[in-house]
Amino acid sequence: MAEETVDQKRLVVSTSPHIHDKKNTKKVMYVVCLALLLPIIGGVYFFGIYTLLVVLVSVITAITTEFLAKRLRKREFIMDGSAIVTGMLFALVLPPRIPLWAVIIGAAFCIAIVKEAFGGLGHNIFNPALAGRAFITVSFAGLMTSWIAPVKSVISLDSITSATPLGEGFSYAGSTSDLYIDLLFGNVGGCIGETSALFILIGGLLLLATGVIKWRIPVVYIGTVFLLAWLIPGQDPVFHILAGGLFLGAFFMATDYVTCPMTAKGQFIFAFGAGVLVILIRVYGSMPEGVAFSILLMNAFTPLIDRHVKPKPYGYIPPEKKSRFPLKKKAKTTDVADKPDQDSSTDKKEGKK
Amino acid sequence: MSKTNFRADIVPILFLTVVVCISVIALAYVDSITYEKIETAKLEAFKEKLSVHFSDMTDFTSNDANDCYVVFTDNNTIGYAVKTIGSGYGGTIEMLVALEPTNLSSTDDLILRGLSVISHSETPGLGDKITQSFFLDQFQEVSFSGIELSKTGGDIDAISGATISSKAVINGIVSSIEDRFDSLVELVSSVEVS
Amino acid sequence: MVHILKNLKKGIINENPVFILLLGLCPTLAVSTSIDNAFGMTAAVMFVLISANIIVSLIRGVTPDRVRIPVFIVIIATLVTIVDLTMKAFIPELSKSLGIFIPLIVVNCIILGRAEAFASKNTLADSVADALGMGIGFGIAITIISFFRQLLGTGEITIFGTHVFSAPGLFDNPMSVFILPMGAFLVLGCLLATLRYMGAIESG
Repeated sequence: MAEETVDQKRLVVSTSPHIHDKKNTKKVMYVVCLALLLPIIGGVYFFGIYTLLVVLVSVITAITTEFLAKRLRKREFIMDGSAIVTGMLFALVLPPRIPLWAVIIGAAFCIAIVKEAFGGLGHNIFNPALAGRAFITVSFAGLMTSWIAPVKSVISLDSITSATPLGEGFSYAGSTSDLYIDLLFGNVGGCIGETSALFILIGGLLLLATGVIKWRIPVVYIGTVFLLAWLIPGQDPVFHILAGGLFLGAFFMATDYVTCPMTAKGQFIFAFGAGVLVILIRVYGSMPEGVAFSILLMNAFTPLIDRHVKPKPYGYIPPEKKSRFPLKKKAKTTDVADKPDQDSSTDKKEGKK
Repeated sequence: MSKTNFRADIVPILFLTVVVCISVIALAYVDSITYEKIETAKLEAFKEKLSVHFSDMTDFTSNDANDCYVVFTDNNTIGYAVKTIGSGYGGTIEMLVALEPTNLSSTDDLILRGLSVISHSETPGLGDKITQSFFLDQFQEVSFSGIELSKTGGDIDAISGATISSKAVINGIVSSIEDRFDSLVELVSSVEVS
Repeated sequence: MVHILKNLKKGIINENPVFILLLGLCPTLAVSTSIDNAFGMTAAVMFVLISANIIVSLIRGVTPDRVRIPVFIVIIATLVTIVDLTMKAFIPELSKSLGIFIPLIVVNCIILGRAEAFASKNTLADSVADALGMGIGFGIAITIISFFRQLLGTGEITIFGTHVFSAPGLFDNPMSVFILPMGAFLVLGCLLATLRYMGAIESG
């Protein structure tokens, strides 16, 4: 994250060597918290003050669980803000009228099992917030599929059940452009934080501008979904990228440092794979929404991707290639003769850099 | 390896052969005493499933493929039953559809007497509501053409939050009955002749 | 006598097949959805384990070394098939809910493991004690796991149709994840972690 000081093309920040910067985990996490405030405000505006309670309970549970887990593991508890981010993200992917006890169970699961049981921040395989959501979805399928229509009143506790735009049985009365506008501003049923694409986009741009996240994953992820929806007949690409939690997932969850690949190439594969999965689940699968599971599945692939697109270690010179079939060496003379030339030329190029 | 050593090469083979022979005898003996019990247990279990819909049944007969049934009280036919299979959210849903003894000129004549789920693997707490009476009771005294979700003009309300499982039940019934209608007709006519 | 007691205790505590040796996890994870299943599975495993240990121990003097594993497998497979047929004939309900996992006892590594590692080298009495201990150890482990899974997953504890108690709150909103396969791993993982934390399992 030191691009401001170094020519971006020369030094890609990934694996070591690193250049030190004032930015640290704590600061990054607080910027993310700040960016997440927007979707939360949106959630409170559309679904009432109860959603704020959900967020607070989720965050408090996350911090408490982290504290307890660190005590159990006899590790020092550091208030690095990651628990706050997990708590906020988890609350944002819940239905607006979820009972608070389910929030507590879910948030505790996020931290205790998904994060701390694997070794704490930096060691978790899956994005804690999404894994928590998957856990709650499997546990309380009924609760997690009861959506309400936006109430647009902060104090209201009313709830009219309604389907989400991606859900079955959803019908929209107005014209397509009205639907787009409603989706953009969030005037539709759905999770607390996923309804307003615009708020999430502003938050995401804030993250991009501060250099907390890179453009690659969100752009490739959303782009893949758009492209595939456009290619498949009968699908509306604009609807597909605005509906559901795609923006929230793309900016805040897929970009999680810990659970996405380290290299640029790896991130492309990661985001592309997630995009394909979203479309597969939404169009051909039996679930209406697939963002959460697409990211979780690609999280599972991350170590594999990282292994395959291993970046060249700093100062590494590739060994001269040997023929894999020593007996056929004579037949392959031309190949063998060509290769060292190529190698040496690339070496020279690198040397010039 | 040139010369066969009796102790090292033949004895193990003989020993294993003897063990296998003893095992076969033991298994044959156990099978001979349990075979009939297993068959009757299976039959009883199935009879119980049928008698949910035909409380006064005394006997039933099935076709060779074991998917269509005619149910009797003494010697009067009181109804039919067809095994149906739907592909649900978590796997196959096996169901038993009980039918009124209507005449069988086409599938439109069929009237459902009831539905029960034999086996399924739907999501607990959501899709598994297909086994609850509030859903299954909807299939009582419904004509075959009414087996459709109320959303698309039929008589069956989907379980909220489990549309896929509800649809699987309906599609399974419709497609299985359409497939097996001919064999049901065949079975019924063969029963009437005899 | 001391020997026999030691062998009995070993399977239950120090070498508990599930919690410490981590053997036979497939049936443990798969059928531990209810206490009924756990008891049924334990009974089946116990029968096979004890009979296999008895037979293997009796023929240990005459079994040629080269074919001992096939011989053990044939013995175990025969016993399992007997259990399977008997259960189907006399307790069809339980047999249905245990399903494929009764035939799969054949490949349960506790049984072959004990036959190979213990019964083929020890006297009849010791082998029976070992089988009993291992069987009880397995039973305790699978019962604990299924207790938690049934309680959390359905909100109530019912043993063979008798309602024992239902947890307030949980009963209305059971966490069905614990009935699903994922729940088995979660419960086993948490139990192992707790045991290790309490020092029951020596780490490393």
